[in-house]
Amino acid sequence: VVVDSEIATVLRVKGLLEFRCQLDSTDGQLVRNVISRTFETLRSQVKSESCVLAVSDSPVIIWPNKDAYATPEEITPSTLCEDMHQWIHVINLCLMTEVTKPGPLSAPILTKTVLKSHFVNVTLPLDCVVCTGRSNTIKEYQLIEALTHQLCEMEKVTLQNMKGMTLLVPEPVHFLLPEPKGLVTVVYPVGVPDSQLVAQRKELHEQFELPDDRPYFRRANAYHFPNEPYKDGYLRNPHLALTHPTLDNGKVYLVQGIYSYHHYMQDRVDDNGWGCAYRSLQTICSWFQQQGYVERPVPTHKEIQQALVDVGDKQASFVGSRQWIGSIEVQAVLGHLLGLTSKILFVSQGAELASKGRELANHFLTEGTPVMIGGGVLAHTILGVAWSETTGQIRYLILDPHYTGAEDLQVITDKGWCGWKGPDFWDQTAYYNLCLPQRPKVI
Amino acid sequence: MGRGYIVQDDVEGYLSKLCEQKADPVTGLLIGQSSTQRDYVVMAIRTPQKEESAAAARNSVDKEWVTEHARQVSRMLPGGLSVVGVFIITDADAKDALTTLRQVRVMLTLSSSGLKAWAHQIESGLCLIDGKRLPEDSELTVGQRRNVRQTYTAQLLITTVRDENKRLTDVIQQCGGSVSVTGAIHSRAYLHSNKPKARLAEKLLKRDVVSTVATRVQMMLEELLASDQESKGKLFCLPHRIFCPLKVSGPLCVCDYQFSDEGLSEVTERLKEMLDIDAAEEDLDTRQETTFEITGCDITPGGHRDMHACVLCPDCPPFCCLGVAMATAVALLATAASMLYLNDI
Repeated sequence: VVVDSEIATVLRVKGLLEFRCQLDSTDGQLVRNVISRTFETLRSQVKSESCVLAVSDSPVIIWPNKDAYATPEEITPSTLCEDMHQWIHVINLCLMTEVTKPGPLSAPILTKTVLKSHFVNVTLPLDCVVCTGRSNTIKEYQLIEALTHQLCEMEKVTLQNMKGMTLLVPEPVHFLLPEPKGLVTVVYPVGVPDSQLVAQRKELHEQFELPDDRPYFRRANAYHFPNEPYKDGYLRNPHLALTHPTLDNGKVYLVQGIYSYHHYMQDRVDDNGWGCAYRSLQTICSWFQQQGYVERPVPTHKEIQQALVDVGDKQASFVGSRQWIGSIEVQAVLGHLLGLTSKILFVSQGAELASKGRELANHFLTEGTPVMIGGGVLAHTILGVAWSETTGQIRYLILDPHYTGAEDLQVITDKGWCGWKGPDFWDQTAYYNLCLPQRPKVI
Repeated sequence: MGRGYIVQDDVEGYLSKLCEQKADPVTGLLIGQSSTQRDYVVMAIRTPQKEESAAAARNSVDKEWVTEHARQVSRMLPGGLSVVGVFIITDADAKDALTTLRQVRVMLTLSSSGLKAWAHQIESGLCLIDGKRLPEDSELTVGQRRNVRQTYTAQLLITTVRDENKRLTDVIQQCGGSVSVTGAIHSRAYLHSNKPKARLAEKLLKRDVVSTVATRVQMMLEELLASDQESKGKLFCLPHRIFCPLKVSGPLCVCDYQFSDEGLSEVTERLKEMLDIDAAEEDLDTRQETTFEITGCDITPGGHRDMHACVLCPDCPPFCCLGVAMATAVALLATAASMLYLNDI
């Protein structure tokens, strides 16, 4: 996923704010008043002179409500923003509080109350993004406005989800919507699963005029910032590093969304020589998980084999073996483990694949899911086609699960483990089955 | 093998005078700053007389009393100054004296667990010196002449640290009341002038911030527990910090805490008794912290004026959490360089 190049910079402010208050009574309205007042205090804090933004990985510190900066000598406030643009696409800022002021000031007091009450103590995870074109001053980025707006959203969500004396922590999540909407932040209550937030998502789809048959606001759809490494170590969308072929009157049709590259030897499983279809299946599962259709993590070889035993397709001895599987088994597992339907496309000879341009193009247009292809003795994943309706020329974007090396994008793209192949890539006389997973029509 | 000390002239003088006294043994504390290579001693304080001590007891070292004296003196030292040693002046065998010395231990602990969370925030905070974020290993007096007194202003920036141990269900808890601390304190630390590093300045300053608040809260809570008052909402002024210069001309100051119902004469008395300093009321610096003025509308019960509420459980010992010092004014002083270059120790 690439952020629109029209956006010069994305500023992201993250920080934790302590939400603390004491509830003297359990009366619903009084409780809500105290909660609202406490949020108001936090908003004042953010607008105060003691609010500080520290630019990550840099010596720059900004007092946004005082127009003051702490920077090394080489950077003056006016060059500040220009320089920031040059460094990185996403600039991370940390929200801090200054606890010092020039004196003298009132000495401290200790207040004591003895009263049965409830003590509320929550750490609020503030996380704002501001996308804007080039601006000259920090104030124009409206970071403080973004923070206070988020506190208002958090107040709403907190009050909405209060049940008696239980309180849910509000948590911001960022989503990248199709142009021109860009990055949008939604505050969700922590611990409430996607299945209970359907009404909220419906409202959001209406608000942003999004189609109502595909998810944009599930937690798994959260935007992944370019400078955040994926903790699981898998590569995402290696095909984005490639240059796509240009055919006469041809168009490129690609997988939509994010998948992980699964291949031989990963996860300390030595499946060299037999696991290619399993890996292709894992790539497909990773797609459904990251688009938010399923919460289940990518299944292991054993889990895949167990699923086939559970549906009656294989004997119990299949589990733990090194037996190959094909498109039909892939379809069965996607159905049993993930509740998905898939279409099977059969060609009696590899040479026929050249004529399947239109079908594949349509698949990537409407479903946009990765395709598993098995035949001869090999299995692969098709991530897209380049196809010309007039000349019939065709190229296939292949993700090869037979790769045994490390997650090195350079090697994988240079050596063609993820790359564009011609019709001669296929065994011209062997028969092939393709599994085309269908996208569920839900939000 | 002893450690090397660099000692100020007047300390030597003070110790010499003690030698002339009839009492034997004479014990006391050495006050200064430790560095990796050596200790700098700026002050020596004889152990005050314990009123009830019998004549016989006067001839032996009361280790608990020396320790208690050290504990109380520690409260009166600003950042950078601490008890670096114990001395004993005696005609007795040197070996016995050393053994006695080793048994005296001084420890300063942060007893209230609630303050621990706040202290952790301060310790992890970002320190700016003279408005700049200095690399840790950089020296503070780079480019400055020796023997020049230098004052630096520091700023502290903190973030909230996420508590991984806090479960989601701990969001709302029942409690029997609360104790909170709000307001501002003046924090100060002194540094030896032998190429002090920014890292040391930051550490000493943060330590002083935490210890001055902890000391005062401790003093206040001891008072509260002793008096056992039952009123619902009570406001107590924490004692405020008063500085007193060690020498009229010198930059180093010690400090004491003055409760709102005390006069300055009580402060000078304590300074004499605990630190053996003869100070006049005019010498005291009372300008750094002012008394909190209570007006009718300022504090509302359960109000939120800079409130950082704490939990007081009926069955648990009281503990205070997060009394954030709203502001401090800080001066960092490098000690006079004359201390440094003494050759004979």
